[in-house]
Amino acid sequence: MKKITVRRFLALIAACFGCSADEPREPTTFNRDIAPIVFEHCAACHRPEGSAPFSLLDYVDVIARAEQIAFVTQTRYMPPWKPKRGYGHFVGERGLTDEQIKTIQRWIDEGEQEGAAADLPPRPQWETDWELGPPDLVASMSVAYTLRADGPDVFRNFVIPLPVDETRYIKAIEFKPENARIVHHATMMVDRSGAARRKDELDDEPGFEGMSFGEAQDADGHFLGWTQGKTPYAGSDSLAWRLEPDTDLLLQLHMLPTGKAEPIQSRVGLFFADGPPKRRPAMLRLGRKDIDIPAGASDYRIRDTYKLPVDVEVLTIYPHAHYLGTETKAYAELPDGREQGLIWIEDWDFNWQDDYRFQQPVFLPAGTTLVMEYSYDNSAKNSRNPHDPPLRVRYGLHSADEMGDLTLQVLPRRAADLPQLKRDFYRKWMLQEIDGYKMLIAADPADWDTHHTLAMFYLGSGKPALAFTEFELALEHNPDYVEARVNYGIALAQDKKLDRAVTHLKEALRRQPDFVQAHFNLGIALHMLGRGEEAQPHLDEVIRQRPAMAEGIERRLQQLRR
Amino acid sequence: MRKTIPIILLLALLSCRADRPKALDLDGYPVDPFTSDAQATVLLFVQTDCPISNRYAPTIAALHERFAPQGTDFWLVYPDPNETPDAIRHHREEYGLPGQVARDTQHVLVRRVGASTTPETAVLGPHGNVLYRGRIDDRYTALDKARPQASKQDLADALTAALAGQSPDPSVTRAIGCFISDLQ
Ligand code: HEC
Repeated sequence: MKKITVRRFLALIAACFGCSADEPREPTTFNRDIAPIVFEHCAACHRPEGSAPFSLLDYVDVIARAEQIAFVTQTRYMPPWKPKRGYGHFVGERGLTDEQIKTIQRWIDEGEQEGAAADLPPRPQWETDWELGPPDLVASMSVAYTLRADGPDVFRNFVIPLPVDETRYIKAIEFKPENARIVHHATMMVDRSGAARRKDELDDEPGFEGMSFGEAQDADGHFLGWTQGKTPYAGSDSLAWRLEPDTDLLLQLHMLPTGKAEPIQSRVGLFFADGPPKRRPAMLRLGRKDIDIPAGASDYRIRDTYKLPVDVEVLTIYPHAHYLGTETKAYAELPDGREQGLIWIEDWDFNWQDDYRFQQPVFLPAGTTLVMEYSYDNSAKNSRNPHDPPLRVRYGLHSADEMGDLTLQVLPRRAADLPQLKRDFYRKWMLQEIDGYKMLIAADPADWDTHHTLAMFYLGSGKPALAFTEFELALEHNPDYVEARVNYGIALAQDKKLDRAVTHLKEALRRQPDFVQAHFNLGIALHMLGRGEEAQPHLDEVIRQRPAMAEGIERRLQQLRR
Repeated sequence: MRKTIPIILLLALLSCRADRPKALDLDGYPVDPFTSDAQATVLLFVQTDCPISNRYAPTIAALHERFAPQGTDFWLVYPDPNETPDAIRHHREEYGLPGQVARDTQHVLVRRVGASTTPETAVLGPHGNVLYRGRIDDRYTALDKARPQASKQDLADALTAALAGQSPDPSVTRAIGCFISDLQ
């Protein structure tokens, strides 16, 4: 127990002198004035099972840190809440009023008194197990991972199989870090490809490092995230997401070492909806992939916009930048010229990132322009700068690279508008991806895989000539890249450059004689040239390797004949 | 006549010393890192449940490994009177913290070197003179701002200087962490 010290005793006397004047005021006490503040605004994290490193529940807990509490509340470091107040209203907003902050300081100045037991409000209670009730399915990391004691943040991905034997619809997911002290932020994606599982199996360690989600995707337009102190979202039947058998959850944990080795084995609880959802949201991701910040630049800015083709409601918003980010702002320019604020973080902190759910969905009519504006500081003055001295930093997925994304979860007003919205957005997204891959190539011109990906994006956006150049570059840097050669062949054939297509497809086969896609496409191309006899052995080879493709070949040849 | 005055003074000083509060070891015996005859003595003000202080445990262990063999005494100073010897034993084991322990429940050492924060460090010369006081390194620039790696190894630099018989520069820096003034 903390004793009344000389300092506190003197403060008590001073407080008494102060209050004896005109307006007799009772001294500020923990039980009456402070406990309600810490119970409501601090204890969700600062409790024994919480994510913060110590509890703030009892008088003794609070007096043991009183001056630091005054400091962290006055500087608004605690309770953590980044978005600017009033510029967007979000579920779970945290923050103290100026009055509450002053009360804490006054309590200290008046001697940190405990007060009468009768004044103490009941202690808040938390569910000891699942906050949303018993889940329909519980899955967990198959083995525990041990976070090292020291060093910078760790981003690590874990594959959690979700065993269902028939298609299910998920309305809510509750994440249990099972070592809340180390997890700052968790993001979950859905992997139906098995790619993450294969990547995980490459070594014996549980999970794999990195910030990339690979093939995994968002859950039908839903954010599955967790941050410290966040209440799980109960969701709704009408907005559930589809879970097929044989799907993995890819869990990405952003962890901060604590000074000792820390084991972690997270769990998730899934809650089933009655049936398929009535409506589906879309994810719109604005941002720049051509970020290129000179070393030392202290105010580098990016901006991106997107004009909505249909009426939507914005449900959730998620700004994302790395350590150089200083400010993230997003707003909507309505067709009538008014500006509607969406989110504004004036002091961006990578460690406290989150997806923010609007208290009320924000309606934006067709013709609204979404705007995002971010700032970055790549000077030595930015103490979070990963490079010392500063280096040129470009777009990239590593934490020492930089990003500038704004993802909005939107629901079209009319469900039938979803395909139009997705198509329209896809075109914009494609251009953005092209910018990004151009940047990656600028940084590493010999990266044949990126040349190939860029070629495919050019094809997808109807720019075959640019695509051909990228195919050539991919093959120049890696002549054995038969997949690129076959895709190049297909693209040439589609562009009626059949002779060149045949040359590349034959070259692919010279390098890999059993490559079935090369046989197939060469067979088709030769048929298009009227060289059916030459084509036949290649198509026979396809059917020998893949009997199931026989029907497809027949259909393709019939199309050609017509 | 001239001789007696110093003797009286000395007696007064001695009796004063006996009454003065002292830092204690984990068994409750008084300890005084200032009487060490090592070439350099390091005091590390730490706390069992201060997040930043705990994050420095591996750094402290590495500094101990590097400088203890060169004749440096390491002291972990626990200024929180609420931390029991058992809690401290457990904490040292959990975080692998090396060095001797001083429970500074009355803040004798805190005042003597002017420490205000956990984690904070002081380097003493062979005569108990304070050569350096402040942060271990510059990893934290504010409670919510940390560099991925430290760019200045202040304590290591101060120790290197002290062991070479030189004065560390800077001799004072600002530590970031939990407030010792709360620990009464
Ligand atoms: C969303 C969870 C959350 C809430 C709510 C919260 N804290 Fe914290 N707090 C944390 C975490 C996590 C840390 C540890 C930061 C670190 O690891 O350095 C922390 C650290 C602190 C520290 C120590 C600062 C340091 O870095 O040494 C103080 C003091 C503190 N909180 C006070 C408060 C007070 C007072 C409130 C309520 C007004 C509050 N916190 C609300 C999560 C929270």
